[in-house]
Amino acid sequence: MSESERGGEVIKGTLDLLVLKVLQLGPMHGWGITELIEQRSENLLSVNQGSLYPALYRLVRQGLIRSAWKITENNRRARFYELTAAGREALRDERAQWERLSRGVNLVLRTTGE
Amino acid sequence: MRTKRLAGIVAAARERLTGAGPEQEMDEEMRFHLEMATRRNVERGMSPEHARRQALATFGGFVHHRESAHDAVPGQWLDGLRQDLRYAVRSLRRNAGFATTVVLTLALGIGANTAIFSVVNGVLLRPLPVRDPEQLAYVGWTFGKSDTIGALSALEIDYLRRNATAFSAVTTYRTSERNLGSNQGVRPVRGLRVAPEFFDVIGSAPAIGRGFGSEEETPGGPAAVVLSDALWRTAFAADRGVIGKQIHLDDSSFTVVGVLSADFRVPGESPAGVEFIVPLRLVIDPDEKGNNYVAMARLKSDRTREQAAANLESLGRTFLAEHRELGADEGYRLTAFEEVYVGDLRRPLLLLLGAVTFVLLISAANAANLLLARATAREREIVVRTALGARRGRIVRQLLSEGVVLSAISGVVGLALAVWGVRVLLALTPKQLPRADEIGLDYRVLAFVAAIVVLTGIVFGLAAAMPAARLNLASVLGERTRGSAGRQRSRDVLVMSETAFAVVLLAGAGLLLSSFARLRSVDPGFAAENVTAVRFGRMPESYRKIDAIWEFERQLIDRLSAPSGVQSVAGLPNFPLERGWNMPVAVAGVAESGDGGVEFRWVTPAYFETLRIPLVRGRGFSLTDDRKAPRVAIVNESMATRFFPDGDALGRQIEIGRYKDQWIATEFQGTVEIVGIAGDVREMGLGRPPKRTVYVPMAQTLDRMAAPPLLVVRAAPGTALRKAIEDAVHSIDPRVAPPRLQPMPEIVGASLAEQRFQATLLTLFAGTALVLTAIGIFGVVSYGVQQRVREIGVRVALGATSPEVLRLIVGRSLRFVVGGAAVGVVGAVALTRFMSSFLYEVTATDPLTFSLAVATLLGVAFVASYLPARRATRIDPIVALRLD
Repeated sequence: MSESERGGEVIKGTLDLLVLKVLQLGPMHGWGITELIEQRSENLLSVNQGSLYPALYRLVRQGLIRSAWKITENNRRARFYELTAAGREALRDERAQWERLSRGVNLVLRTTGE
Repeated sequence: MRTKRLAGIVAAARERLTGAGPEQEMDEEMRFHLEMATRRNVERGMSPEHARRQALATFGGFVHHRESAHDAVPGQWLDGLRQDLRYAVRSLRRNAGFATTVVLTLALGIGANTAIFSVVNGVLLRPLPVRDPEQLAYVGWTFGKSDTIGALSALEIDYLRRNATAFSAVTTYRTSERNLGSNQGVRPVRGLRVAPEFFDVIGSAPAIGRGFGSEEETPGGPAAVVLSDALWRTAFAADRGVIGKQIHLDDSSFTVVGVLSADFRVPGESPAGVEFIVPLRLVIDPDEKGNNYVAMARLKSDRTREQAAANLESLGRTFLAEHRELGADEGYRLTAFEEVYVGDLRRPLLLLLGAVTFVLLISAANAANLLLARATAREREIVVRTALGARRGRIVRQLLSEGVVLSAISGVVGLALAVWGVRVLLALTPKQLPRADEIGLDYRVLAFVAAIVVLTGIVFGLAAAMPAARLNLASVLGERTRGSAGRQRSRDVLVMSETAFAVVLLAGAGLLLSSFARLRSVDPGFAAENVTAVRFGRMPESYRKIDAIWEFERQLIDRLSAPSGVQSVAGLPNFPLERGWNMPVAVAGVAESGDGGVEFRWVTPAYFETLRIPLVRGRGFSLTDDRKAPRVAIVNESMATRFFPDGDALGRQIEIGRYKDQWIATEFQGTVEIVGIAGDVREMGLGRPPKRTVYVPMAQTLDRMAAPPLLVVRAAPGTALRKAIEDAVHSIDPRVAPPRLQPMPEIVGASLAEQRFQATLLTLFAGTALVLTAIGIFGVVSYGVQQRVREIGVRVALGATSPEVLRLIVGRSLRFVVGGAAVGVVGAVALTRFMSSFLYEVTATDPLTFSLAVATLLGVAFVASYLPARRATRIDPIVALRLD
């Protein structure tokens, strides 16, 4: 796969939602989060590390996720992130908000000119 | 827009400061991420090199961005520093073993330095505890070629006080022991008898009340006393009403006229020795030429020392012209006060300070070595951070902070060590260490510690950081990095310098030790074993005459000879190796004979027998040599050959107390016959040649020699001497307080206290240096072996034998050690020259000592290299080659 075919950057503001969503699947390290987002989006989306980690630290600080050092299946030490109760709640809210937003955007985009 | 951006930067900075994870965890997370990304890229078919570049690219210089955002905020550098320090503390905590080793190494150096510096500070650097000490001077009378301060007679002190224009005040004092009577009973107190103008010279008046008035200073005037603050508090309950009250010192009553302030000090006297001050009424006897008073003077504030010296010189000439009958031809001499006060201590202390600095340098070199080794272990971490865009300056700063944190901790530990060390030092120091009560921690010592902490921290932090700063992406991740040539070079230089410093210290210590050993084996001319020195304190009033003292001693000797075990007892004026009397002596009838002075001892008959001083010729003294008998003397061999170079001294007449055509006092007049010649005794110190000495029977001396009795007792080991003496004293005169007893060998030992002190300390320093150097070499060689495992494996695979491997490793290490030792020998030759005045019968470049120093070091270095090298011989080539 060449670079040009890779997906575009995640839209500002949606990264938190994506991270929370991915973590709903279970605890995951930063690299795994990147991979999952890319896989699930069928490579339409890619995550820049320069935004991912600040976002992760921000979410940790907001108490939406927490982190712990664990051993990966390859026997490497890595920091795993997981959702907190507040995080689950935030995911629900953000998701609802996103759906409203995307529905609105889609509605507008679908409008045909008169 | 702009403000929004600024807000963003501030937020980023805040985020960084309060960031979710500790920074090094973040690094690890990044590294993990980078590795995974690289691996994926490889799986996708990229070359490893390309894969890594690609992975790095997606990072987009993340770390760098964060740092620039952070640094861009003004005033945040302080937080950056805090961050660095926090980071350093955390990273050290994770490596507690490493940190402990460095801290102990450095603390040892810092502690030793601080301890010695505290002493130097207390003795040399702190201002003298008097007002304007630079205005104080001692005035002496040059006497022959002797360079000791001559004391002055009462007449001369009075003359100077009235005529010297360069001084605002001239005074003198004597120490005094009295019994203070109060309603709580009698207690012994120590104080001073001071001549007029004493308080003017010291520059401090009593805090309460006043000093002495002129009528109190003239003979027959009212008796007045000034109390010390301590005595006033303990014995008089700090009652201000004590002024004007009567107190009893011995049998006389004194009016209290003043109380000293708590910080009143007389330089050269311990505060405990100044409990009271009474006037010393100088009796001016124009016929007396005894120089018994040490004159202290205060220069007028507008006079220089040179002007004062010139003034004294002309006064000396006028005085001698006015007093031709005193017939001396020397002049007055001025000695800087501080010089006399601190005495000969400046050079020994600076020697110790210099030596201990070397210890610090070695411990700093060792710490740098450890830090370097660790920097190598952290190479990967550093490379990652560089790759992530962290700037080099930032990394150097971090390593420096670690250095400073380490040395700050070492400073605290070192300070604790120093507090303890000073106590040990003071216990070791020769008793007469002046200003010992002024030694302690003050702001100078603390500033000194702070300075060495910062300096060592920066120096050894830099030593470790510089090579790290040169690292680059060429040796990126995943690859086993080998110590770069630069790093190895710094390590070798450190080993070389450690070795050089250690050789200098070993040589210095060796010289002092061998000189001390030589001093110990010097024959003092008398036998101290089984001899006890008996010292009486202040005697009752009735013992003012020499005959009373003599009678007391004679009875005591009689009674002591009775119990079994006591072999002989003798009275003497001073113990060997302690200060004695000096007296001019001339050959009878020869005008221009004799010289400045000879040692003068009045002793009881068994003196020579008790101290086992051989009588070379003639006879000893007997009880019949008393006032009724002709005056006799025994001279030592030095005096016999000096005074009668071409003939027999036995039977010749001498005149004791005559100098040129003058008698020092009329009562000395008369001739004395030499009846015996005794062996020489090194009375001035084991390292100094024997002095010419004349002995006379105690029964024929003068009243002016009356002093509390001193005895030497030779007794079989295990004799219950104390009880025998106390019983005998009590039965003779119950008013006499029991004497102090001290083994004679202790007095001999005490005379070497200073040499022992220096030798002990320098040996301690050299030993520390040796251990530290050994640790340093061990560390470097171990590390080198670890780095060369693969190479050694190849060599072994190619057939190298164990001895060959050993030679390879040890040889490489010893090359640098030998290089360092050579530099050290050159340094030692240059530096030990300054020690020659401390040495006895050893030259400062004694080849034997130097060879021993080098041999010791090489031996230790060999062992320190051999132990880790042996590990190299056990390397399994298969395993070694499989590494990486």
